[in-house]
Amino acid sequence: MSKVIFVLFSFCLVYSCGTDNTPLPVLGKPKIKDGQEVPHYIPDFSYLSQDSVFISNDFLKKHIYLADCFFTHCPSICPKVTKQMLRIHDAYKDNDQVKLVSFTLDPKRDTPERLKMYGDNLDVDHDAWYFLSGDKEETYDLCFEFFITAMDDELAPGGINHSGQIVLVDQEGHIRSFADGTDPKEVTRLLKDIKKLLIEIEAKN
Amino acid sequence: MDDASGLKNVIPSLLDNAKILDDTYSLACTVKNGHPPSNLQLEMPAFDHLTEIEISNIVNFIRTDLNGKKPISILDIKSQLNLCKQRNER
Repeated sequence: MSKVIFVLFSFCLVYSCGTDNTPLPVLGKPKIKDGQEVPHYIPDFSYLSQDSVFISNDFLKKHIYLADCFFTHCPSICPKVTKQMLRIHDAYKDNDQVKLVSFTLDPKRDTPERLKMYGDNLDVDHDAWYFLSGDKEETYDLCFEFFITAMDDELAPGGINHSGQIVLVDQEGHIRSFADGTDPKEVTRLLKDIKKLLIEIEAKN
Repeated sequence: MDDASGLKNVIPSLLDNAKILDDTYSLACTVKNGHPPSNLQLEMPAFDHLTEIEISNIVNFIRTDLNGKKPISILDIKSQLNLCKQRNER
């Protein structure tokens, strides 16, 4: 009996894997651009990296990227999310198609110099993972475009209340997948979605 | 981290960490008094509201469950805590 169940189970496993060819959806509410309804997209931005060069969404158009919002003094969820970003970094640091982008919510303390040191302490490749700083309010608004909430909150640990999603953005600036960055299982699924998006891009070219 | 592995050089790991397993280093004092920030490591807050028994439970959880080392007796922890109280060691 157990053998039968095992065979059935493996059949289902192989079957569902084999048919999962549906492309990743474009997530988010449609926007109005030039009087036309268009799918949700990340608006233009340009932020200073840890190497003090401007990284814009235009620059990132050559790549797909994973984004999160954090700050280095964050005592609560950021280290957990950063640990998961590190997993993605370690898997894709040698693949130029994939970049990681972390926006600081605390630009007053997180200067490019400090962010560079932070990246060094994480042993990251500074050409694969950008730690970006810019205007604080603008960053809060931009994080919201990534479906990440961020607000000042005296009661929150570190003074900023924010959520810990890791968001996958394609070359056209559309959000194609995301995961709760505090949940390693969710990030395992996100890693599969990255692979899926890379296959989709390869098929287009 | 849930698995005590820390975060590279940002948050120290509690596994196979030579410093905290060194017999000359008092982990009990660190739990009680916290640890000042260094480089990019955040400050560890003091847990001075804990009783000696609670501190010894934490220290020995780190030693035995996480690292497979022998526990330290509550008497030794007590004398360590008295020493660091005198020196106000961090």
